[in-house]
Amino acid sequence: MKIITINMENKNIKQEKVKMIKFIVKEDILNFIKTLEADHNIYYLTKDQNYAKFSNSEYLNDLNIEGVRAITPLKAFFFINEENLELPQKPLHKSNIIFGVKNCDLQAKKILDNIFLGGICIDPLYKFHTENTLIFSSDCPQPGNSCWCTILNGKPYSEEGFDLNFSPVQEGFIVEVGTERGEKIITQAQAFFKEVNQEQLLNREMIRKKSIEKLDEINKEYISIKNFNFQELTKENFNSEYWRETSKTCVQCTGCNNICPSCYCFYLSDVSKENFQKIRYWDACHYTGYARVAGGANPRPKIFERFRNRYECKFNYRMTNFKMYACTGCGRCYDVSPCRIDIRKVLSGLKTNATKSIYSN
Amino acid sequence: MQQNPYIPIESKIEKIIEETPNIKTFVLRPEQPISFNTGQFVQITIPGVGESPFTPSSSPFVKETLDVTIMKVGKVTEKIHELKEGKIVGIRGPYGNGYPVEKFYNKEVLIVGGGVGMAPLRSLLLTLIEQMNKFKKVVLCYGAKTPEDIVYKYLFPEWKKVSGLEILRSVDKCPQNVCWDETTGVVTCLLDKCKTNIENTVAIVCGPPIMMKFTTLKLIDKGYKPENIYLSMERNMSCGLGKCGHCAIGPYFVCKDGPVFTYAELQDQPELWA
Repeated sequence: MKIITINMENKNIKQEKVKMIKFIVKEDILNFIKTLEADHNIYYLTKDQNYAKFSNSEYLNDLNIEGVRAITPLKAFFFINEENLELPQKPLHKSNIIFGVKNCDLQAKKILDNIFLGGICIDPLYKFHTENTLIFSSDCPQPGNSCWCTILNGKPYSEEGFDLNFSPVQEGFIVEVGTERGEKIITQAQAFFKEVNQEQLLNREMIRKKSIEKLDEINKEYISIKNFNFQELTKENFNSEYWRETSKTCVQCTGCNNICPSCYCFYLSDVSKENFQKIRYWDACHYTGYARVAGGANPRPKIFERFRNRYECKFNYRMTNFKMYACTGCGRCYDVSPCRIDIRKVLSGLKTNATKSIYSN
Repeated sequence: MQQNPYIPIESKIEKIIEETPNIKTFVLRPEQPISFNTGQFVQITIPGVGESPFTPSSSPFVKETLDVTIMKVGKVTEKIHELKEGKIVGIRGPYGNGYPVEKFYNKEVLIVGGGVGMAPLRSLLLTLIEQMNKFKKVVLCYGAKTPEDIVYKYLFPEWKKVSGLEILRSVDKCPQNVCWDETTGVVTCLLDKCKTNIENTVAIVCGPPIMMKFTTLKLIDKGYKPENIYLSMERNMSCGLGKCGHCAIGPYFVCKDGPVFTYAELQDQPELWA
């Protein structure tokens, strides 16, 4: 009994240690990043929502980790389109740092982790890239009009899954350590980091609360589906006529598939006549031939069936597999859709048109 | 499993057997032996062309070589058909779950095959023949389009000699100048002719999607329990590892959760039949 108590205490101490929390003034960010450049390729979130590669010769004047998530989904760093599936022979000279990752992307990475690191075997390339990448996440105090993470019970800030998390507060950032790798970085650059004070922590809490309020305001039209049981909704209404109606404007461009941070489908291509090397490309379930078999039989020959499949995959099937939705409310699919198909509208419309009367009120 | 699961094992085409005008059996000798359970599948790569899934048609007890019976039906299979003996292809796998043969012990086993769907069933049949005394009896119902389209024509005389094995065959139609003294009609009509103790019989079905659907529904009509009907599902596949997404049937990935499923596992999935 005593031994167990000691073990538990040790565990608690370790957890406390991992939750190291510091403060850095805004002006020191550039110098801090510069110290990391020798050993890392640093990609940072810019004002125009891109990840730019940091180079010492340039100033970080377009850095904006306080803005909304990048246009490029985080998956692009780990699950690379058009990648040669040959294992690297030696470790990389530099590991990657992605600076300014939002919680929607971090949550979506969990789906990819389940697929590529779980199941019957580990995907060696995905493992290689994730192991060689440090994630510096940042809070999202300025959500965009397509953002809807809070409707899905998500948060506009990260509490886990990062190496370091940066929360903008007055005059600087609160930096929370999530892993030993993150802790090592802080320890090596400790000159830049100060102890965090109570006022700063309260400031962070207030900014986070305000962000949630902003998201609720952006999504006030969809308040009726907030924290809804989307698995039951999509499962029970699989045969609803609504899918035919709502998919009529979809042109199957597959933009939503490609831009989605949790879409992971791919196909392997054998391009070389000389060897057995394979190239992996991103694939999309909206393509007519996506599930078609030799001989022509197709489980989803119609547009509405493939449109519906994307919703069933995200809210029904993956929930069964991994106990989480394969959608984190980043809103990229709406931003990219040439048909202005809004995932929130589709789901709330499904609820309104639901065949089951329990949703009618 | 190989270190990099995406890199195939090079395999030499040792022999090619012409089965029908559009079906050939390829005897492959991999650089390192690939052992598999009957009903599992492999991915075969033609460099520069592509990769397709096939269930070996040979006995899993044969270790050095592996047979695949391939119908010319798409881009990859057309290229495979052009290959000559001595050429090298790649094999990845085996993948998925095969037939749970131990569960068939002390039961009657009804095998229903259509067309080139006989390929995995030949592997199963060869596995059962090795241990016939463990089953009450084995019934094979096989249907093809015409007598010419029947695969493994040269093996049926041998199989007819196996005690405890009954064989019924049908063809959808028979050209006038061809002799056919067995059943004419789709394969499901054979189910009315075979005598099995339904309560103690497992049915194993493999064939084109439409045949699988109507055979399953007919078996259910006849009183077979969904948990006693085994289906070898066909789906578009790329990785074979449960990752790429193509073969999904609802929450299942056919490549890792199948390709052999009981109908009980799948009957609630709305997109089951292609």
